[in-house]
Amino acid sequence: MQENTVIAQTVAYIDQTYSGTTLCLADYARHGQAAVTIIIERGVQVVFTACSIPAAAITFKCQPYSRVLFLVESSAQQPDVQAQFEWYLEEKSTVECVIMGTITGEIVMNIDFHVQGIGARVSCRALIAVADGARATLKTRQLHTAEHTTSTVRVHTLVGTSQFDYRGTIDIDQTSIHAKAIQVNKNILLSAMRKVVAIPTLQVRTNIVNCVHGAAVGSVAAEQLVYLQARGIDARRAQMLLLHGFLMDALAGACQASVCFANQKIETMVDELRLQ
Amino acid sequence: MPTAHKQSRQPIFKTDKGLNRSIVIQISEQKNEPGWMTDFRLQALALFEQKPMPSWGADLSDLDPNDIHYYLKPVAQQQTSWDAVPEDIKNTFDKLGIAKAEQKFLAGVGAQYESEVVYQQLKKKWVDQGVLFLDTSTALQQYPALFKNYFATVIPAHDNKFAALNSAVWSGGSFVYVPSGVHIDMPLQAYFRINSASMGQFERTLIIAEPASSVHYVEGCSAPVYRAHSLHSAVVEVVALPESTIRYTTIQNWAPNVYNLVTKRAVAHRHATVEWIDGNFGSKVTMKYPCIILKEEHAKGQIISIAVAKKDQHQDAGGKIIHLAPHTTSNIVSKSISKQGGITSYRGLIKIIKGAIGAKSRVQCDALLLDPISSTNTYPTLDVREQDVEVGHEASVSSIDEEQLLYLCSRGLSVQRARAMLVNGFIDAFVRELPMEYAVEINRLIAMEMEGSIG
Repeated sequence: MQENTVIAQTVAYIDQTYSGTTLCLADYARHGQAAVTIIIERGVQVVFTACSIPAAAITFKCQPYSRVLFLVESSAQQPDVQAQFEWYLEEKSTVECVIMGTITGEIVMNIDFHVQGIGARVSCRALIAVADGARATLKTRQLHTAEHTTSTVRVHTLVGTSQFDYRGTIDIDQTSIHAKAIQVNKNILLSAMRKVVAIPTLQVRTNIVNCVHGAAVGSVAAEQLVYLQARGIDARRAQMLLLHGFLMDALAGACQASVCFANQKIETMVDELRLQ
Repeated sequence: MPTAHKQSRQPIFKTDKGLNRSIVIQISEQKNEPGWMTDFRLQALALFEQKPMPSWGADLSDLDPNDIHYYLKPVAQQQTSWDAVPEDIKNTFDKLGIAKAEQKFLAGVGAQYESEVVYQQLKKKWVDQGVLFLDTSTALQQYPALFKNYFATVIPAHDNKFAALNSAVWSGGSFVYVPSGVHIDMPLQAYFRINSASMGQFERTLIIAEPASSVHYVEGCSAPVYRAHSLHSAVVEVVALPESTIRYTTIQNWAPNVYNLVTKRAVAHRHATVEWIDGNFGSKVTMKYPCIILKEEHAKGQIISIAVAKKDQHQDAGGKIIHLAPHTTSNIVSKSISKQGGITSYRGLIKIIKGAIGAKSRVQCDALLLDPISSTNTYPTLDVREQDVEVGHEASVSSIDEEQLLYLCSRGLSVQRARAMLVNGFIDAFVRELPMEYAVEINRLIAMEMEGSIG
């Protein structure tokens, strides 16, 4: 990594020296920089972590055969924030993102995945609790421009007396034969919330693809609550278990590190909702 | 399915191309309308001129509103017997199979040729029970109070640019009134035919089902192919009063030079059910998003649609359901097929307002792309402002499954036949909802569409 040029030019190179290490995202988005580009060099495997969502526009360029695990947590104390993550995936590169936490202020987050190298794969899982009085807007775009590319976005949200907007786009161009794209947005409403809007759009320009999207809005299923209560679990604990399961469901197919990262924090997230 | 038959005939009256106040007044005078309707038309014209063309959706840049005749009266008066209809017009509808279908399985038939309904007949059994099945202009003359009570209440003139256009120049269409407790057990059919080049057809349909009644209305559309563009811009208003059921089926097979820009909306009251069954096969551009407003408790809405887009066609269709009351339920199933570079788009809205507790809605959109040069888009919106609801949307895009194709071919079917069979299976949810006679025709049409689409 060539650090001093990195900060001045807001470009960071993650080379083989850092392969296999865990890096703190805050080191790259510091000094109030508005825009940062991080280049993960060919074949490098790296983990990025952050304990708050950085208020910055960060571009990740993943060179061929690189692997990135991106674990970001939003803390309940985090102020209003606008964040943009732009990912460019080259041939056979792999990215797995887990973004999770409780939103208490106003947050706008845009995540774009340019899946442009043959065989590139990306998955993004957002596990979000929008606390009472908060407002969250999440926009994701899965842009496929190469053959045999795969992208998965799963957004599972718990919504209190708050507002949540989700806009997701899958765009598959004519060259992206054998592309596979999945986009799922599920929302559980916990109280008389103000508003949930989900706009999952799909634009497909070639026929040899496998493309699915879905969105759902509902509350905790009463029959599932009754089932657990009938087995001696009190109502609050039963609801917490169901919400825990709902959030964990977003991690289906994720790597072990992502599951461990999320599992520790989901309990805190559900606690922070102060369920009755 | 209807096919195109060109037959020219001299109209009784035809306005010049283009649209202005004088033309609107001429149309109103031709119909001998009351002053309030003329004023309504002129206000709508002002709205049409004010509103911009939609900047979203399909490309309308080739549509020139000044290159269209907005009113063409083909015959002096409407008939109730096919024998009295001029021979050339009768032949057109004969070739479309309308007269034969009327005898066999329809409760009534209306046939619109250019701007006017040339034939309208309702079987005596239903006349005796107080059912009204008239062309809309006649309904305005004969039942002014009933007409005024509902007209433009579901779709006001300011709703959108093309609703304003229709409100300014509307002519023809069906007026259906089903009295309380009457269940019409055979469909009513209206057939719309544009036969001239550079022609606009702007029918206005109003269906009212009184409490505990039911009706199934079927409309078909066709036009011969010309080089100049034609415009079809209908407005359909449906009012389902408590515990009534209205099913509205459309089989649209316009010629590929027709812009089909239609506004359809229904209001469902307590325990009422409204169903839009919508098949879009023809036209150059279709922009149509049938809407159901679930206004009172336990109202139900269903939209089942299919769109087939071929070369130079854009089928921009979808559905909107607005839940305004508790325990309302809705279901949208949308299937689309694109081939030879055709574009299909699903544009939908599910809106649940605060207080609509127990509302349930489900949307399913499936797109089939038959070749690599076609495309499909899905733009759904879920807008939920109530906690105790269940809303779900699912969409998928795929091509014909090679394994299924191989399975059928290995059992002796030709590739073409196997593909047609798989496509028929794909649209089964739509075909199942059609009367048997239409279902058979749709399956045949799909088999014909599959010709030349192998590979």
